[in-house]
Order: sequence, then structure tokens, then C-alpha cells
Amino acid sequence: MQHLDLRYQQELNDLRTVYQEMLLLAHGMVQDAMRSVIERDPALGRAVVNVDRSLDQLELRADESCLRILALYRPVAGDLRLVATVMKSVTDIERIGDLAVNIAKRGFDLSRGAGLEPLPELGSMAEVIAEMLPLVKQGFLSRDPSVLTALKDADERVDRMNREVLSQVILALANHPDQSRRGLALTSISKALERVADHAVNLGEQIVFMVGGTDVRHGGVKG
Amino acid sequence: MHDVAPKMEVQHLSVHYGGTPALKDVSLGVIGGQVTALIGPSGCGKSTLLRVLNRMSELRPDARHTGAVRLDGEDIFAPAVDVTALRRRVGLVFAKPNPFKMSLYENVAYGLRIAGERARSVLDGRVEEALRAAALWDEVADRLNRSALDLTPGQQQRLCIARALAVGPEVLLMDEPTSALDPVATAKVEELVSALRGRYTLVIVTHNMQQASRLSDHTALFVEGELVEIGETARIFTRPRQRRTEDYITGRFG
Repeated sequence: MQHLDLRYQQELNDLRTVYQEMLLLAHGMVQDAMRSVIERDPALGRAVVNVDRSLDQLELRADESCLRILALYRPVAGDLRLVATVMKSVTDIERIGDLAVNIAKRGFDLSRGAGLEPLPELGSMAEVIAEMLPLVKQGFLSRDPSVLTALKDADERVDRMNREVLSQVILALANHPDQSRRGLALTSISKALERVADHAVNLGEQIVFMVGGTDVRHGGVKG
Repeated sequence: MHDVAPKMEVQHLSVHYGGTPALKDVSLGVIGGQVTALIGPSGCGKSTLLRVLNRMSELRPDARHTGAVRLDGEDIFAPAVDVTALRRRVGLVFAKPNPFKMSLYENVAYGLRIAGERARSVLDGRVEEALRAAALWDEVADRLNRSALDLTPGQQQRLCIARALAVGPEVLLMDEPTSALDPVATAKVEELVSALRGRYTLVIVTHNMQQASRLSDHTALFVEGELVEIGETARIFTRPRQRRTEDYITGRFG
């Protein structure tokens, strides 16, 4: 139903748009960062680093917009949950951007010299994550809390692959101790991808709250 | 809210004015010592419900009701009920302050005199007690014999609350008690309502959604004579169960 106050309606719509823009940007940053690593493309890596400023700006815009809505319109019920969700979610999305920057920077390290190369598992992790942020967007737009289940499944797959990468790197370093810098870069990338998936799960939990008002984090509120 | 015996209980209450329905099969409990807010668009029946709770609704000759209203488990419409005694137990404060054209003292003492109290010492004590309870004593203690009409509108409203409290009610009904007041006077009345919580059972009709959320423990939404939803205020304003509640409190009504 249309809100009687059209300015308020517009502010809420703008907030939804900023959230989606941030999600889209962060998603592109992670994908580009991984491509820059796998294809040894430092220029693409630098582009990721530069785009992060835009993501930071969007976060500031979202926060400002949330505060303005709270102060001027005092939202309640579903509107309040939307504002609270965006306020929390933008932190997760912004961190995803930071993690993409970390990945791109480790790519710079790997592009210098040769030796231990990116493992196929890293590409697989990126592929799983490539599905996660669009799922978040779909859950947010269609107000569908069931995306959380799919996100958690994906997160578990990413966790398993991360552990696999760690074991493989440890094994490789035992045979090639001179490759420690490259080994460290690979584990950092793997860890960053694992964190991206964690943030995507957080975003899914926030969508569950936005839709039904239930806080499912940490097993829910006790007592 | 169902595990505490309600102070007042409304069961399948329907009210008609002439042929027009004002309330349709409403059932709810008013918990003792707490503040219950009745909200909803104009003409939704919330003020009608308030007036039924102390049988003020009977002042309209075309009003008819079915269903039951109980105070401490007893039917307020039972033939044996003394309506004046009921209204002493269940007081009503109106939207527009309506002090009588007499002194502050006599305004507050009015109900007690009607009830037959003559002793000056008793009246003095009860007037002071009521004015203190209404957070007005410190402002008017030195001018009790001045006309009540000299007070500011905010003070007049607190005087009307003192007048209602003087006869020792258990339940206080308030019909948009701050709608005629400026923000400062509104804040004082709201502070007073919070202070009365616990000692009295309060039912407040308000058009101001933020007032309902700030002041009340329970909120009931009415639309077109129907009770749409009642529940703890914090839940109603964060996770309403009914779509009509969500639409109304977020301003999407219409």
C-alpha cells in the first residue's frame, strides 16, 4: 500500500536502492579481485582498490539516510525493521569490499615472481560466493527469508574449501619453505573469501529479521 | 498478557448508535496497574469503548449495547450497579480541559462533596493528595482559592486529572488527554501518566502514535468498530501481526 507521506516513501525507496547498489558493487569487487589474482592482472586489482572508495561513500550515504529517516519520520514496524536492517547490513557489505581489496593486494604479491600458484579451490570458492550476494539481493527484494538456508549451505561449502586450501598450502610449504610469502598470500585470499561468505550469511540473517522481526543470530534471543 | 486476571474485561461487546454500529464484537482485557492505549482512525470506535467502560455511553439515548464489561469480574451493567459509584471507581478525563468555573480547591473537592464528604480536614487532605498525585501541587499550593480558569491549559488538564483522582478511582480513562496542549504541557501530562502507572489502571485514547508507543504497556488498534489487534506495545510497534496494524502505524492507512 502506498504511504500517505510521499517524501517518507521516497526516502525508504532510496534506502533500498543504496543497499542494492552497495551489494552490486561489493559483489563486482570480489569477482574482479579474484579474476585479478587468477589472471595475474594487477590493473584490474588496482581498479578494485579504487572502487572501494565508492563503496565507502555509499555506506556513508546509507547511514546518513537511516539517521534522517529515524529523526524525521520515526518509523515503526516493517519500516523500522528495514532501517535497522540497512544500518547493520551496510557494515557487512562495506567489509566485503575491504576483503575484496585485501584479495586484490595479495594478487599484487602473487603477480611478482613465480612458484606456488593460486589453487583451483580458490576459483571454486569464488564461484560459490558469486552466487551468494545475488541470493542476498533476491531475499532483500522479494522479502524472502528462505535465502538464509541456501546462504548457510554455501557458507559451509566455502568453509570446507578454505580448510582444504590451508592444508594444501601447509603441505606445499613443507616441501618449498622458500615459498612462504606466496603461501601466506594464498592463505590470506582463502581466509578473505571465507570471511566474505560469513558476511553474506550475516546479511541473510538480517533479511530474516527485516521480514518477520525474528533475530536468528546466535540461536536467537534467550529467556 | 493473558496470564494476569484483567482489571477490566470486555466480552463480545457491540455498540450501536441508532442503527449505526460503533463497535463490533470486541473482546479484550485491560491489565491492572498498566497503561493501555486505544488507537485507530477517527470513527473507529475507540472513544465509544472508553465511554462504555464507565457507562458514559448511556448519556446518548440512542446508544445500545450487547455483550459484557466486567470490573474485577463483576458486570458493570448489572441492574444492582450504582452508576455514580461505578464512575467514582472508573474516572474519565476529556480531551479539552473542562475545569468548573470555581476555585482550584472547589474543583478538586467537587466529587468528594457530591459523595457527601463535609469534614474540612478530610477535604483539605484529599485535595492536597490529589493535586500532588497530579503533579500540580507545587505550582498552585499558594493560590488554591483562585479561579481554575486562570490556569494555563496544561495546568487545567492536570487539574482535571486531580479532580478525577480525588474521588479515589481504580481506573482512569483518558480521551486524547493532550490533544489540546502544547508540547511542554503534553510532556508534563505524559510524565504524570507514567507516574500514575502502577497505582492506577489507565486507558488512553490517542491519535498520537508516538504518544501511544511512549506511554503505554499495551496497545489496541481499532478500525471501523473492530478490534484489529491488541498486544504489548513494544511488539505492536516492532512486529505487528496484522497487516492492517502495520499499514495504520506506518501511515499507510487509507
